[in-house]
Amino acid sequence: MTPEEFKNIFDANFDEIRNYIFYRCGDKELATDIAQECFLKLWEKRDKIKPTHIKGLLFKMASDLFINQYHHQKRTRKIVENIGFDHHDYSPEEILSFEQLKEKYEWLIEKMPDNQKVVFLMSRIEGLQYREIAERIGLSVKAVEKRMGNALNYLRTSLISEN
Amino acid sequence: MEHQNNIKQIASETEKLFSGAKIEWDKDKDSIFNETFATLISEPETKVVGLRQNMLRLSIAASFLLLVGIGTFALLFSKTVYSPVGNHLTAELPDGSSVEMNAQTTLKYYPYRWFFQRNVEFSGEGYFSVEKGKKFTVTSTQGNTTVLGTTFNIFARDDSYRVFCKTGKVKVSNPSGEFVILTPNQKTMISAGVPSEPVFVPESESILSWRNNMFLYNAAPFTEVVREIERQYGISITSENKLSGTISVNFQKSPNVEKVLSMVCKPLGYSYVKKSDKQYKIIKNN
Repeated sequence: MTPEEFKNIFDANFDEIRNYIFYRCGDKELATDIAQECFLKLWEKRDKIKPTHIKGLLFKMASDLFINQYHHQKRTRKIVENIGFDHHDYSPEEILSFEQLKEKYEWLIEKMPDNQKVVFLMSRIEGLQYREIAERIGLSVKAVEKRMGNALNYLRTSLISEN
Repeated sequence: MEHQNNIKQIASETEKLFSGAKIEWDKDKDSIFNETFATLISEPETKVVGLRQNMLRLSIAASFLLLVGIGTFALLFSKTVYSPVGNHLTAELPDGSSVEMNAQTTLKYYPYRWFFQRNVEFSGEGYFSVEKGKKFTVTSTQGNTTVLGTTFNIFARDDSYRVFCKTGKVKVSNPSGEFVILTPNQKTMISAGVPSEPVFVPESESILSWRNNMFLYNAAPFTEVVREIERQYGISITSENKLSGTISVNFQKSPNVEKVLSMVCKPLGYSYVKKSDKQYKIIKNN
């Protein structure tokens, strides 16, 4: 792997890896650290790694790093809080209802089971296809569909029961 | 109906919420790359990698050498047992076989090879009790003796090589491979380089009597008897002329060497002179 190849892989994958870990822990700094460490490892092992399936490999490495090293840390789950929402063309009323909605979701997403949360956020925030999500986290497309369905179901039932 | 509306509402809410949603990172990907990776990947890589690979190669080579060293040591490690003049000694071999060694006898074997190969290098005289098992070989310059598990006596000194089989079966061969097979109470000798036909020995005790400090000779060359006395008592015997004649004699190893000397000298017309504590000289009577 040449430095140029490494740079290309970094550019194509860094944000996705960082987002993925962020969905899992809700901590921006931690997500950045792990993504960085993941690419450091990739560079150290560049002679042993084949460039095929590198995306899946990177996601696996990041997941393992997260589980092994940081899983025990107390997690600060502030996923929605850390997400920037684009609402500059909203009217003041709209912004108000939007803030209420955001508050609701904040709580709901914190409570969502981890595996559903990752799939849900990848789909919603990065707009990834199920196929792409499946490739990243090493699942079948069917399993991703199922998790997404569960996530939506969970949101529905929670929101309806609240209303 | 209300339920349906709720679902629609939630779907549109979710849609609305996440359209244009973005995680607000403190640092973007490019600045992270420039801070952490740009210098790292532009370093000359051969340095680090080369050293590691060299270390790996070196350590493989080192452990290989170590293994070869240990192996060679184990293969070449030998144990030598020596029974000095005036002494009898019993050597135990790793499998429980034993060798009673007469005076001035040497035995050498390889303890770490013993499991694969029962082989001893031998010179002098000894009585072997070999445990049953794989082939057991006794190698001497004069000849080789091969057995499976028996008791036998070997006399391998100077130019003489004599084997006597007490029990079992014994194969005696010369260095070029000619051989005879001995059955109990038979003996053979290698003379002029060839093993002689086996001869039945009615009274085995005369050959094995050295084990009980008895020395029985029947028409034996006088020089051979003198040599044996030298070995048993740790003395040196010289003579002016070459000693000749054969002798039939038996004696017990007693504390008094002079008694034994006079017993063997007289019948052949010799006498002896004591020159110093451990030196004797045999002279022909006129």
